[in-house]
Amino acid sequence: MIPCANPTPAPPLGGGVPVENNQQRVLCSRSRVCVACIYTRARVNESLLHKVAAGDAGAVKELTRRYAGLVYALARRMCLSQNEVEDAVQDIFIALWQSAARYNPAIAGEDTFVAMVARRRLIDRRRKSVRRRIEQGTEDFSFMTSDETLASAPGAGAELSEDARMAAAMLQTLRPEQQQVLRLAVGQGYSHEQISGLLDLPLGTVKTHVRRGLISLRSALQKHRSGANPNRDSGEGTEDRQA
Amino acid sequence: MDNTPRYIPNDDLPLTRLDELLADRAVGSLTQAEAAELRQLLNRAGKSEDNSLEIAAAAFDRALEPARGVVIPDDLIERIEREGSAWCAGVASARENVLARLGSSGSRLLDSRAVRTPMVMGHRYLREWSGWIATAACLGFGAFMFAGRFNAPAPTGNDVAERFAAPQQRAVLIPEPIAGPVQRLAEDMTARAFERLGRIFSGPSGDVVIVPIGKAAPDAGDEVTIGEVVWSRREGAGVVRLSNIKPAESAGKNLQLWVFDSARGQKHPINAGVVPIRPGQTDVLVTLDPSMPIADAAAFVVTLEPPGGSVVAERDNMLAVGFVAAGEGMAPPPIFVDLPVGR
Repeated sequence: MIPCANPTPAPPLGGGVPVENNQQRVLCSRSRVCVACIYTRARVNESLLHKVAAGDAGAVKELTRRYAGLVYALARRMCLSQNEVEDAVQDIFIALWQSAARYNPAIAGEDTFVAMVARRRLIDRRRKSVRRRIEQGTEDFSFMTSDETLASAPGAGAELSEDARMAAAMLQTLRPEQQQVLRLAVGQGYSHEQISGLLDLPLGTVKTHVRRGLISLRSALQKHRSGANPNRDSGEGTEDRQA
Repeated sequence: MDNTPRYIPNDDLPLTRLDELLADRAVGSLTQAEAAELRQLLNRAGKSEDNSLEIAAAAFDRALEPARGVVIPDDLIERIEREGSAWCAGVASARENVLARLGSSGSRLLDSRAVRTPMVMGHRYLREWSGWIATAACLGFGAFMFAGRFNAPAPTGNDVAERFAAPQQRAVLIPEPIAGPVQRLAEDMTARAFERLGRIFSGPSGDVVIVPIGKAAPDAGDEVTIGEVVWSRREGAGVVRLSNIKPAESAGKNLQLWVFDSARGQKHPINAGVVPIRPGQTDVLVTLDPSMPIADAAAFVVTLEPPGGSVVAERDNMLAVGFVAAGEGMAPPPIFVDLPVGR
């Protein structure tokens, strides 16, 4: 039997989680501690998303309460039709539960992770929808404007995370033209071609603005996080593409 | 005081092709051809995934359009919470099973509904797969397929679950940490495979197909490459385990996974992933992710290909093959859980 590499296994917690079973102490795939220790540790220092991954019903409810506004707003903004919005929101929450275990707080804030999962699902959904409309000859590339997504009920939105605040600050350092391109591409979901037509810019310039803007922010975020946590991982594999 | 905004130029940022494609994906502007190119570049870079620019896009998104307050239909919230409760119950049930197993010594708690999945090839397969079968026979698969090796004790849900779930197996699959991207990729892949297994076996009865795959040794007594595919019809995805891969055979190569869809026939296998292997690695446990939807999985093939994989499956490169018998399915053994590995 391979010994557990964790020198001080965490004490057992309540809830029927067994932690003492020397017969079962083996290396897990990454953490080099026994499976039982992982169970316990996961319960000790986990974020809301990690609690969700562990099947904590209260955490699932809290996640819904905290991020339903954000997810709904994103879906309203990026879906082609209102009919799809509710389906999309449900779909996104299922994806969040399934991929919650992959959340790594050293890489991104919780709301950034939620927004990333939501964006990914919405982008997939929109691509399929556009393809379907093209096949049916009923394509309509118009998107809702962000104003349509905003209603009167206050407090439904989640607070801005450090990532978002940094992104907001970073945005101010970009040239106005690049800011505008990023707003349209990232915030409004316009394609490169649409932005090129709207702003009368060469397609290559639009692409470059988007790419350089994102890469600049990535560098800033990574630099910031590596300063805060020298042992941080990169952004690779934070969330499964299957999610 | 100068109020002119100070814009920081970023024109000198180096843009690699990988970054270009990652950025395009982050804003949903990737074509299918570019998506394929991105997969290849990630494979070449030894990365299973790179979400760094999607994270940046999400952060920008939050900064650009903070959710100022939206009215969400009450019934939508209720539906999400109802689904969430059901999901939690599923996780709890699966966990109880695993914890019970961790706490027991050798007790078998697998579902008695699990049925045997004999390696039987129906007539339609014998006819339709004649080309691949002929190649397999030339390579020594013939003895494996037809001389009763699989017809003897066909793996049951119990057997397969034992092999996949045994904690020792995890340690074997990832022996000693080796620095480098390939090791990390292998760990990511294995962690994902365990998660996938948990999901597949938590699914409905009859959805899961377990197919033995392997390669026979021309000479009796040789170690043979052998394993199983666990396939979910509902998800159109699965997991592959292979053991006894010969290092000499796999040196400098990648494993490439293929799924044959009976709707497309044997001339059009679907790429289901490229798997780098470390020097000396003999065991793999990876997800099977077809690049296209599979209507009716008929066969699974693993080939040895140059790094990055190939566009076309070559029969000569075949390492392992397994065929799904018509109408085959089995009840899922309730053993797997989404273990919190890789935090």
